[in-house]
Amino acid sequence: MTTHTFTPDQSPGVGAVRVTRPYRAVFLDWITTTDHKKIGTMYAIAASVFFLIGGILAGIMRIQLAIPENDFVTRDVFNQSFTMHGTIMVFLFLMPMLAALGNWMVPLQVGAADMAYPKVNALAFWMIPLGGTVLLLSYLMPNGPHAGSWVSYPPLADVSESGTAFLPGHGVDLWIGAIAILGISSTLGSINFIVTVYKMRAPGMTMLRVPIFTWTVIVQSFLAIFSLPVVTAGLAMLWISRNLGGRFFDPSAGGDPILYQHIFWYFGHPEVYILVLPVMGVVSEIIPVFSRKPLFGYKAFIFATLSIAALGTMVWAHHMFTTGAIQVHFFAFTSFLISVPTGVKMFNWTATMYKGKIEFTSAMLFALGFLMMFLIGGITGVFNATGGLDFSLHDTYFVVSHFHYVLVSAALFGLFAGFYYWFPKMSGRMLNETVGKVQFVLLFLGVNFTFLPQMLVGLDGMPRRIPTYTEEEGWGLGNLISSYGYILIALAAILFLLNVLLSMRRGKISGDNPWDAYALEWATSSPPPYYNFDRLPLIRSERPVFDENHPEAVATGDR
Amino acid sequence: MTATATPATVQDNEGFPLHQEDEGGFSMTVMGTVIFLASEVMFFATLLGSYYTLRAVNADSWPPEGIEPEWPLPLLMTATLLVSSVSIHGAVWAVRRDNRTVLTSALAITVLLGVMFMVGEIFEFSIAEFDFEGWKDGPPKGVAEGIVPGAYGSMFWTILAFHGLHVSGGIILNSYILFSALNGRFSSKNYQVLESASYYWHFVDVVWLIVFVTLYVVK
Repeated sequence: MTTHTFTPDQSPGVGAVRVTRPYRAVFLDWITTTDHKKIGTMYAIAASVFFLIGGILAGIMRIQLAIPENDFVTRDVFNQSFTMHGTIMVFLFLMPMLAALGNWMVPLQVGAADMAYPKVNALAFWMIPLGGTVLLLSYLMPNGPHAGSWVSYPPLADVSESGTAFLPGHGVDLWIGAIAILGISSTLGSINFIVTVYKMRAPGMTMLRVPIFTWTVIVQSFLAIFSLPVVTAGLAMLWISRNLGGRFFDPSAGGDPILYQHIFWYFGHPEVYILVLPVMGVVSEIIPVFSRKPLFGYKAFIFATLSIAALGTMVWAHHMFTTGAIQVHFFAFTSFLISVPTGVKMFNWTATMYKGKIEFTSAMLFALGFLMMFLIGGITGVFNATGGLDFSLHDTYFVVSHFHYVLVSAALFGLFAGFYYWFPKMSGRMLNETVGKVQFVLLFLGVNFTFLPQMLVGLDGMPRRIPTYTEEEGWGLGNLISSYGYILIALAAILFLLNVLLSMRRGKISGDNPWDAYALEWATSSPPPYYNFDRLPLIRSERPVFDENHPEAVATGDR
Repeated sequence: MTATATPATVQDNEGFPLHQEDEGGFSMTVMGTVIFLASEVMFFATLLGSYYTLRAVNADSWPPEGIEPEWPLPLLMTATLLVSSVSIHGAVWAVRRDNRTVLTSALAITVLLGVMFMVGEIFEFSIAEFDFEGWKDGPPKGVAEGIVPGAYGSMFWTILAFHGLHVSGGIILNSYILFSALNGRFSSKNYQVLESASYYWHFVDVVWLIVFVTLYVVK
């Protein structure tokens, strides 16, 4: 009788022994796993696939808009492309990718063996491919996918008085179903994060010693729990309107289309912070490590995060200034207020770097890129929040440029920073630093070439969501530059993919703590065993690993 | 049998426990349920907020002429649900004292009352004169042709239906709990699932009170 034994924590390449297992066993292991690290990896893989799909859709739009009066795609396909691009990038790329980092790092950062509810965690993950499939199935429907933009305002997304849909077919209905599935997935994930942090922290880790990234994930989770059900209810009403004859949004029957906009943006604005807060957390992990200083104002950062979340639920109607149905002054004021805690964070980061011993690793470069891009995104946000100015900026490419500066800085710079920083912990191997620096330059040029011209044509009056424009309008040059910029971003993304694929096999062995970093995840081996920790250091500050590795600094108070 | 002394908590020199310990308060299951219920609160808040928004938009025709929601049956349903909240709390009370008889009978009563509530709600749906779009058999006597329940009907039935779906889910959950209790799964040391189910049921009850006041009292 032969017995096959293997230890589950033998990840490829670490140590001398590499256990090979039959493909079927590996496959079953992955699809049935409840291990937070494997689920995190699967989140990252799923999000990358959807990023490629969303990126191709963006490419279709950039080709179409590159020259005036282009007829590369029909207007319907163009409308479907920007709708699906927005939906996929927000719900199927950014949120799962942040969940990937959260799944990997939150249990490690608080010193837990796994998430609070491992099975719920697996369920939340598997709803992502399910929701994505439901969304993409709409490409097989007779009238194609949803073409009414990711906001899906009635009356466009609704039915007319006589009951015919303005967007025929079931594209919108499948879209509603997909968003509901993805929303429930995020809600389950958020519950899991909160309970994990509340219940499973290592001894000695008080709430004010929890690493910043984990803090931002908790605040993000609370925002998700309080905003996602709102849009689920709103979309349920929209679905009932489309399919069962509900008249919620039809003024001729006593309904109110503005009501939908309130519901959507009550979710939609917190959603921005759901996407950007954890990225701020990632950056706040990286900048102190590569400045060789503790984060300046750890508590101030946490309170700034909490204030952003609280204020973020009071500003939704700044998306609706031009409806004329809201208090412009109030929402302009609360929107301005948000720049205060955001400014606090900017000072946290810059003051951390001040007089620090800065190391320009790839992770640090991307983190700095995030700071710069986010600053541009934030400042253009102040323009939009100015009630009077917004009437001329609303629905122009200026707005498109603004939120791409915010979200692309979050999505690409912040996440790349996070992966360059944490890839050694996840795989036991380093990503190639030279490729990382080339990639940073490509991405930095690409993002600015793509979105800066959009800001200028937007100021010149180019409306968003238009499939083409005439030559006399003079938007040709800006759009052409923007389309070339897209190529640079695509190259940067492909370079990153190659870097990951090659480094997984051939990268330099990293060791447990290649960056001499501070937070608890660096106390275990790289990659961590399935139970995460053999031993925990004493946790006496928010930087337990630093305290352990540099007792002389702790003793002299020179921390 | 020797008495086992409670082991003293091992502490380090600054007084922090060296073991992962239950800090008391919510168990993990109950805490997750409570956070989940917070998201459910937001779901119903959106529906009810929409109701009051549309009520304000149509201040002079809400409810539209000819509609007078009748409250006696819903009031009976309210009483049913309130009593069932008491009975599921009785089940939690019983399991804390390891009283199997009271536990199973209290759970059975809870399931039965839930089913009675749903029967009432289905009856309410069946006798409706109007639906989302308009009158079922043309406008009733004395109501002008142009007046349609439209937004009012949509909100009314959507709120009732979503609440009904939650009650139905609760009946299934409580039946499962009853089944587990009959199989002796719960004890005073292990009843987190039952406690979570009781919180869900109380939540459904509280939402109904608000729905009842909104749809039948305030209108």
